[in-house]
Amino acid sequence: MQGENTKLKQYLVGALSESENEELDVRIISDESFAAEMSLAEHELSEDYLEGMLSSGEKAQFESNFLVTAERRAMLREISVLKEFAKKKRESAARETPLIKSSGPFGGLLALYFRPLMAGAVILISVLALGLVWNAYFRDTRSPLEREYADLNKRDLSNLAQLEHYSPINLNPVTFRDTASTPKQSADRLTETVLFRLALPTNTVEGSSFVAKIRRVGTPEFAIDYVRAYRNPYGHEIRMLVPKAILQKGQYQIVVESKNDEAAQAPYVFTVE
Amino acid sequence: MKNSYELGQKEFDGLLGLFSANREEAGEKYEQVRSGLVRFFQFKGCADPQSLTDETINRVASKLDAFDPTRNIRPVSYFYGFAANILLEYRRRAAKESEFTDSKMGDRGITLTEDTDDAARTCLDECLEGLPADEKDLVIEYYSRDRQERIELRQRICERLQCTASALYTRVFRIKSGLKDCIETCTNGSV
Repeated sequence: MQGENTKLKQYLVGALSESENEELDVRIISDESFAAEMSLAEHELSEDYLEGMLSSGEKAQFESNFLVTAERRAMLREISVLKEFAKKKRESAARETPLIKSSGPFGGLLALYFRPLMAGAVILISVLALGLVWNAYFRDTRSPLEREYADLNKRDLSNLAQLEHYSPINLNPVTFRDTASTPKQSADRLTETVLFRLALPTNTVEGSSFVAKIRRVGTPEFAIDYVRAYRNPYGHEIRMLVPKAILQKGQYQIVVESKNDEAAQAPYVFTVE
Repeated sequence: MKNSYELGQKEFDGLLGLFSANREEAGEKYEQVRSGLVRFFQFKGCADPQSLTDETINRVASKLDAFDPTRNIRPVSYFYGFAANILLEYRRRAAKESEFTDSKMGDRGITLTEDTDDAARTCLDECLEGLPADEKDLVIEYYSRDRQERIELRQRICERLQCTASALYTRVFRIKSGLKDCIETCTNGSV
């Protein structure tokens, strides 16, 4: 059992000592505002159970001491359905949203031009194109997933111990000599968020920032507009968190562009199996 | 649950006297303790918290003579003593009853994914679509991750919305309550 509400979760499964139990019993009776914290603990405990985060002993206590009313069983079922549903929605959004972006305004126009029956739509599309140009230059066109991971990568990732629970993928820039053997990763072994560690040239300035673009043939580009250089024992590296949802089987290329330096940098290549 | 003691006006007045000489103030405090007892039995996983609360209050009322105001005991603690005993009795009864029923796990977690039928999923989809976009996105985002990533994601949502974890949960809970009503109506209509 973990998280901020550990003690409350232990209370709910009957794992606290008598004195600790009594202290919380009295608090529940006398402090109305405490009910919100208790309800949150009930909810998170149910999620811990569904995600297999409880030890075998905690799981047994959960089933015999917590899961004892129809209301709680209904709550567990409801959370289970919502989690399953939300994950599917998120995965399909990750696949679909960037596709719309990748077709771009001109791809759509050309397709219409070659279909005579829809030629009239070209005029309408021309008007819409102006809107798209507006979107392209003045509005944030990133997908929700790109926005989420942009925020995530703005956080300080210098402490590797705090990143241990992510699957790491360590890559060196590709040169002409080693393009034949790209590092391979098994999709089954990746966590939902993957930590990329990209080796940087020795002359990199610590704290430099980059734009990273992850590309695969036939799929839309996934861009992260801010990733940073961190020091490691051998020099510097980029640390970047990426959603597993965008990594399907195939070969990928990561291109990083310095925000301060115009010089092109060798890409990083890897394969997901 | 059967109440072994019926609360009369005299006993009720006596109960109020435990809290304050001022009847209005005593009434407020009594209501606070009453709703606190309901929460207590609810978080202890009791099937009928209201009845157990009534039973506790009746039992306190029947033992008012034993309350010694000179010992400076908080009324809440006095009620809690009785509630703890009633909880023990409830659990003994529940354990006996469960001996006569089938294996408890039969209607618990095991069938979780099996009985979540397609109709409910379709209705959930429809009901989510009926929500304002920000509420729909929040529910989907809230439930989209597992384990450590779930904890971190919710911290980020809290930072973004500038609220506490329990305030975020309360917000999601309210949206969920609306969804629940919608799903019930939807599934009843599709049967």
